[in-house]
Amino acid sequence: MGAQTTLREAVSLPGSELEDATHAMNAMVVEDDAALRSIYGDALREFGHEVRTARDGQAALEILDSGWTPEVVFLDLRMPGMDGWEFARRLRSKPGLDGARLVVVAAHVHIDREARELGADAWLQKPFDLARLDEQARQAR
Amino acid sequence: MTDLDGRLPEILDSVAGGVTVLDRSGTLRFANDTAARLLGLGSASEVIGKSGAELTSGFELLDADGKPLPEEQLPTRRVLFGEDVAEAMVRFRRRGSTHDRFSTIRARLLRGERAEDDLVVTAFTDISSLKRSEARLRFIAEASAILGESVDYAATLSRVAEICVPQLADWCVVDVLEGTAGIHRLAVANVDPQKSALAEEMRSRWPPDLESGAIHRMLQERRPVHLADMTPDLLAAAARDDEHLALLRRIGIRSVLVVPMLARGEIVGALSLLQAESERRFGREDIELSEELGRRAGEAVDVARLLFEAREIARNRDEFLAVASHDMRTPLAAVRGYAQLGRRQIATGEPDLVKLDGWLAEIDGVVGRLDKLVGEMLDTSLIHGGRDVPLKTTRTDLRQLGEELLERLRPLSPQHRFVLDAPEQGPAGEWDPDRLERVLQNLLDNAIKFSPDGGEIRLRIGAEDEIAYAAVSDQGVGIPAAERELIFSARYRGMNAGGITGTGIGLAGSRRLVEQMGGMLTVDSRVGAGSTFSVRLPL
Repeated sequence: MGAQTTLREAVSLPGSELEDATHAMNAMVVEDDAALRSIYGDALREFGHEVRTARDGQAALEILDSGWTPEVVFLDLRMPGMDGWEFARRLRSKPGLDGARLVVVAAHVHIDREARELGADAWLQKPFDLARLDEQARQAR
Repeated sequence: MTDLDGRLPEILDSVAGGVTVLDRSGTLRFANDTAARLLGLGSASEVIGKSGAELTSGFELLDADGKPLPEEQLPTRRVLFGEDVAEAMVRFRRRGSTHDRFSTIRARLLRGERAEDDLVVTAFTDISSLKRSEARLRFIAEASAILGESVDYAATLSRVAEICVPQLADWCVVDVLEGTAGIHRLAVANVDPQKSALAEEMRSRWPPDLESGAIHRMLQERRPVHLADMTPDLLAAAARDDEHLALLRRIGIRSVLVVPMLARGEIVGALSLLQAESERRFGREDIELSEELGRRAGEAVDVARLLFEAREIARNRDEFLAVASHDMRTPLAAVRGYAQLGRRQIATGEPDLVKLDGWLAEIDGVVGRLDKLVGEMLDTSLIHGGRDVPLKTTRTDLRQLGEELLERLRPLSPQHRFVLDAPEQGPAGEWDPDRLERVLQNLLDNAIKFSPDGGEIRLRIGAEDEIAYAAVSDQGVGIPAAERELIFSARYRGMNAGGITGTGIGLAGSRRLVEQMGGMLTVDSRVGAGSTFSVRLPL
């Protein structure tokens, strides 16, 4: 299994500041904290990506149901309403979305273990450098 | 000069030790009163003329180590068979009894003019009480060693109960007080393994009674309860019903002693000792010994509990720190995010000042939230340490506070309907607004948490008879009656810790804060229908 070896905290790569419009991705931010939701959304837009934000799993599902397909999902885990674990399960079971890059974004101590259990592609521990959002988005395919 | 010869028997009768005189044929020629008593006979005149062998036949003889002692080893015999002087320590027990006595025996040959005039004089001293003291010291030392082996007091007390029989009693029962949870029967040990079924029955069917009986009396009077002779009447009075009486009769209780297990002046349990098959009766010495054992057992329980609490505190602190770091990272992430957005904006060369100002304002707000969080953590720490929180009271409008809280919660939990039920002009009083907000926030968070299926969350605010109130009602799972007071204990909060709001003051802390403001926090609940937590504050 690749998850164990490829799953590591995203690191800044040289040249990541280069904004290449041809690599713009559809990025979704699922985050209950309103401030972080808007920060991550603004930053990803600035990096040239197409962004949708949701405050919990339920709101995120509604966006998916509207026909918009993310290539990368930045997912908080602990949220009131539908939490990140439940949303990840639903995301993975949707046809056409099982290939979306899943990046867990959380503050708690055992985030690495939880990200692995969730089958995530990467994780970012709050607080982190906003450039990492872009790096992660560009790794989606 | 008085003629001593004629008064010699009288003189010897006043000696504390036993004295006997045998002739060569082994026939008893003289015994003083003490000797007759030690031999278990009525008076000296009854024994004169009997043979030594006849006198010892009623006893089992043992040496100092408790092994059978052949008669020819007795000092008197050894002198009859040739030695001039012989000494020994002898342990003996009347046949059929379990009660041992100890004696030192010294025999000496008094030669006569002719061999048939030879006499053997034997002096013996009863050292039973000395031996018992020694045994008691050994017993206490052994019990202390066991108690000190481990902090698992359930295990060590069971072993102590086992060494109590048969030395101290035929039965030993250990009951430990468990705070509000009552009393717990930890061990029942009995001398006769054939009766372990009775012991098990006693343990499982007749839990200790705190309403009546000897344990109850000991707890009330705070001193040992000693029923030296358990008459049939007393036994019947002690029984809880016919079956219990039948069990007590089968055990054959003769004598009862219940002593407290003490620690730092508090009773932490009861040590109940019963005499049955040995037909012994508890005496003053037994009470002293048992009290000493009770003290040591109580201290062992106390030490184990203190250690458990200390570990619990350390564990809670670790958990608290883990949750605290989590709770602080979210606002820190926002501060960092706004700062980075701002720097990128400046790096464009033509910064959008309106955007920059907006982000700086956000940072300002987030730092305010962080400050509140830190304040709450400090309060939690103070409250957990049993200390008062320094209140900052000022004119506080309860309605306004409630309105702001609901405004903030509404978007966070869309599946709940938040309703404010308050008069136009809300009650206002001299309270600490930050702490009051913290309490109401805690109650509202709980209402959300414990009504996972949504429903209405109502905040009712008002005033009545110089008392302001704020009551939070949910339509959630409710709280079973048995837990309604428990949820206010710090320990309960500890058991629930680890959740996302784990650094919060909890219900225990909320109650403390409200009480510090001169008010009270109560709960009313129906399982399956929801709960209402009410804060009442003096106006």
